[in-house]
Amino acid sequence: MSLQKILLNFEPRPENLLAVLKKTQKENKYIGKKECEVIADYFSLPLARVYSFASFFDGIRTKKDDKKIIKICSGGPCLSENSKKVARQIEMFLGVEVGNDIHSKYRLEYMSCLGLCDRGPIVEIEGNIFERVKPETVDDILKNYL
Amino acid sequence: MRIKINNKSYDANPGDTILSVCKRNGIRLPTLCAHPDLLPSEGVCRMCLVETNQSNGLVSSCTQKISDGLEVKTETENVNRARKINLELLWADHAGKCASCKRNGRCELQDLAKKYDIDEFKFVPRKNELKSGDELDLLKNNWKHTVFEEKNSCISRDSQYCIECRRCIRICRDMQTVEAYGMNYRSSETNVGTPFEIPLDCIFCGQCSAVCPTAAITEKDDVTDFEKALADPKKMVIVQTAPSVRFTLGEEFGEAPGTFWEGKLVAALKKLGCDKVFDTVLGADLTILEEAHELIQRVKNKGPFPMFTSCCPSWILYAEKYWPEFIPNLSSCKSPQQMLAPLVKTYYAEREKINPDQIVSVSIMPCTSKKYEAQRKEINGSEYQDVDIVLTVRELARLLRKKKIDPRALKEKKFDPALGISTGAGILFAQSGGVMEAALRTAVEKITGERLGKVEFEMVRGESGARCAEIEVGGLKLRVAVVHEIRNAKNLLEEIKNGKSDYHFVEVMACPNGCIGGGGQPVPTGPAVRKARIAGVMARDKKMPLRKSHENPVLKKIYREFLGHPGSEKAEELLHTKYINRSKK
Repeated sequence: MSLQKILLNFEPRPENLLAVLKKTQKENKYIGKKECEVIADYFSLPLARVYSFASFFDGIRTKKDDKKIIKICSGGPCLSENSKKVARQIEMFLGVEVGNDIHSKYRLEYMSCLGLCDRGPIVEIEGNIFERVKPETVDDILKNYL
Repeated sequence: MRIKINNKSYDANPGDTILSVCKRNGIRLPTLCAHPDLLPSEGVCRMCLVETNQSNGLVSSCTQKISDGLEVKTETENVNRARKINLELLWADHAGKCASCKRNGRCELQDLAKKYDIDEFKFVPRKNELKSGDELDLLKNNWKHTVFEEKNSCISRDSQYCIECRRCIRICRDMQTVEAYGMNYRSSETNVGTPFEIPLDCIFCGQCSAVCPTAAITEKDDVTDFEKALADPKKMVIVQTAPSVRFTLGEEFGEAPGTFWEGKLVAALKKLGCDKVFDTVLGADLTILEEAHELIQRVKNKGPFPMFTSCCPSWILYAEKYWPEFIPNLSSCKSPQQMLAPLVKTYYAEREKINPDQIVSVSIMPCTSKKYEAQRKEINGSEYQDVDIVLTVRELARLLRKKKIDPRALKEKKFDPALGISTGAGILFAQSGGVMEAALRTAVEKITGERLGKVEFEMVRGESGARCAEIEVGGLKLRVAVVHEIRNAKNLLEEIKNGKSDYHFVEVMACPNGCIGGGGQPVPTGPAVRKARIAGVMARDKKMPLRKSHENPVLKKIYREFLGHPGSEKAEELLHTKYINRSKK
């Protein structure tokens, strides 16, 4: 679906901005300058405002990125359920480091809370969300989904 | 309503904030994000915290409205501790390179750090202070979210110095409606920047650099080029100074706003080693003659109306970028800087038998946008770049301080008479409404052919953002408007577009109160400071022996010897320009 078609489904009201950004992100993987300009034009908002809004959210990417992204929740409940250990395990398994952008294929990063606190630790791999991930099980998940 | 501050009772109006009551009564509170041009305050910096009897925690005085029975304490132990920790946190994330900083000595953060004795870096351990390897993460690592920009010709940004007070974002959004900056990313990576880190794409008015409390946004530094030119014995450095500079330079050296420093300014420039110092006011007079001629032509040809003034490069850029349909309405006259400069490289060079190649034309301006204007290709009238270097008042003051030249100790000097005789009309260019008044003084005399009895046009004076007046000139009712700040200009343009108002002649200035509140003027600014500067301008105009542009004897001579008459072919070539549609749509 092209950006124009996505925009057709939404009225140009400020409250729809996030929904449009999310949908565009899903189709396009990231929101580049061109998309951002079209969206800003449609909502009659300055480009700077749309960009600062979009860049605020962890879930919306403003740069092109071919790497596969694995995210681990860094919220308190997940941390208390040992999400750090899960992170170590993933680091060992893939040979990456959290927050480091050196690996050619993968990137591992912490994300903000998704609100699934009762089912932590939460791991997100390429948009798929996994609940109650244990250091022992994370290898299998990675094998299946990467 | 009466409220108690530090056990003393004060009068206050309902709706006031604690900060405004304190300010009115001379009680000092430290602030970083609050600015008199940006009301109401957002309460971002948390420096103005106070204790009240109506809340358990500390409240920010800039956002807290007063209420009955309010008792405020501004200097308790609790308050001071909170402010100090806050300041330490800000300082920890700040570059702290004071010695090499452009704003050294004029930085609001530095002032507060001095006041609260911030000398230790509690939150950023040095190498020897680390106790274990884990603490390495605590080391200052804010490089990944800093933005540098020197790509445009006017404004340089370095977010190492940024304390995220949001003043620049708000002035750009609320006063100028351009909104070039945004608060990008989140939490520790937050920075003030342009979308997608593109080079700044705005109107370069520089208001962001005038309100920035630190050196995160500053004018682009051209002092080095200027020094190089001064040191080169083969070059002849010819300087022109804008009308408003003489009223504000004193502030950088501790004088009150509005102090008239023409003689000191010239003396300081001569002391620096400039060969000739000319007066941009002469360029302003020239602008008026050409503009009045153009207005009379438009009245004869019945349009296109309204005619907009073209002295403000930020306004021109705004029109070109956002309202290209109004480009035919812009006066084709160049700005005073760009009128005087080609005369220097043609008329003056011919008369004095100087090779224009050897002339370095420098202008001292209140404005960051003039740096951009000088770089415009289509604006050059001579075969060379008309203006080589543009310095703002702040840059000049910095250079003078660096060279240990104190203008206060210098004996006053006069402009070089070849291009240095000015009139009161040209002086008025320093503030909003001045171009209009100066143009009216000339146009009315030209149209009616009679001498004006009273030269003041009070109806176009004042401080409100948009003023309009109707003036009867020889049977024609001339409707004029004066606006400053882009938000007011935008409103006016919308009205004109919708056919709600029709004017003959409109003056637009991008900065608050015109050049006197320009983006390159000394800091701090605010309505009160600008009011004092305007009073200085008005007083000077009254004292001038000549108060109408067309009475300027040097101009008469230049027209006789060189240009012919206003609107002649030569004048058209040197003094008029074209505009380009820069809109993205």
